[in-house]
Amino acid sequence: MATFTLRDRFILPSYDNPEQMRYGRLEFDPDKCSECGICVLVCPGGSLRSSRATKTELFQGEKTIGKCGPPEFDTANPEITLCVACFDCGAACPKDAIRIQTSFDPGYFYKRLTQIPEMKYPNPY
Amino acid sequence: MTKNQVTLSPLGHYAEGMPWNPVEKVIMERRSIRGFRKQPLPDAMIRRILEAARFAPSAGNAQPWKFIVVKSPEMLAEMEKDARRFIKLLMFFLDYTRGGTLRRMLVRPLSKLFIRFRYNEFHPVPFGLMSQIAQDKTPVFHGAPTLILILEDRRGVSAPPTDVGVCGQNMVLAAHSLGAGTCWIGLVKLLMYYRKWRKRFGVKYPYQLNDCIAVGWQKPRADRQVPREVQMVSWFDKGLADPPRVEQQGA
Ligand SMILES: Cc1cc2nc3c(=O)[nH]c(=O)nc-3n(C[C@H](O)[C@H](O)[C@H](O)COP(=O)(O)O)c2cc1C
Repeated sequence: MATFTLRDRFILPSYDNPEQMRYGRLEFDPDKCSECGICVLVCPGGSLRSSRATKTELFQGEKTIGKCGPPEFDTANPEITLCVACFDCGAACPKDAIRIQTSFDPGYFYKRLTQIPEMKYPNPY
Repeated sequence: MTKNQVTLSPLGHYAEGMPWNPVEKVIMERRSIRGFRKQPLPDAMIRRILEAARFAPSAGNAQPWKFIVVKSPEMLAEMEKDARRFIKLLMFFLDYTRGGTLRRMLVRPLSKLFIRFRYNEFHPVPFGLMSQIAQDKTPVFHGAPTLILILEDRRGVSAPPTDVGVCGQNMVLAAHSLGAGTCWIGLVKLLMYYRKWRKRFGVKYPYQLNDCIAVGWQKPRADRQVPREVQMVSWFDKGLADPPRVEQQGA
């Protein structure tokens, strides 16, 4: 379990500093991906885009789900993906082509204490 | 990946390792839905979802809630517009993660002060979300055809926000069990900075609005299991002096 020092309690992480904020990372399998654009549409933070459509274009109906091109993160700094690894993109993906590489884990004040990163599907007990 | 299970266990029965029963299936596969059909759910279905809310447990049976259903397309559009406008204003003063070096330098101290005092509202997740909304990269209400607002009666017993959460989740689970989709939306509270919205929804003492639930038909359908973090659970199952056994939940 992570420890939480007095220093951690006081320092607020800088949200634009990858050393202090580990955002989620996703892996898109190019062999499975049909480039439909559904993941781009359902991403809560609009942090995904595809080469031919943004979330806003899909949402407003300017572009349609179909041949959108492969998805990628759409943020100014590639380290600051804003992804929180909710995996709502993966749930919606019709081809099961998305994997979580790293989960969201902020530093210092917002540091996660009890959770460990090996994410699992729920199991029947 | 655990695919949607075909065989389900009966309700009211437990055997080790048995498949999910229908209630558990809905819980595991419920996802926050952020793509909806334009057509709203029929009113009778919304009433049925509201029944799940009415029958939620609450501390001291206080039932400290009040519901508002918003279906009017004009009103939904205006809520979206106003929430966005407020977020843009807020992020103009607080978003130190964007812009030139000078802007970042100037904005950062004020922003960090805000974060220090409102650390839940300006947690990195809603902060990042608001930053994206301010850049028109994602909407606030996800184009949902219906919003159910849950007003909290602050005079409830013990901890009314807990009651409101329980009540809302009852609706969410009922809705998904009926094939609809939902998404909790916390950013609706920003509308409470507008007098007109407080007046329109009657949000004044003893009521408070923290969250609403977007409901509609899923488009695309996205209910499916996803991985979640493993938890380390302490089990106190020996004597008073014995330390707990820490077990990893999620094998
Ligand atoms: C109280 C509450 C408020 C939320 N507010 C928002 C919101 O404003 N916008 C949004 O897109 N999702 C919101 N969510 C949804 C969460 O982002 C979502 O539950 C989380 O990412 C986990 O994904 P899942 O619901 O698909 O399991 C909220 C959830 C809760 C419980």
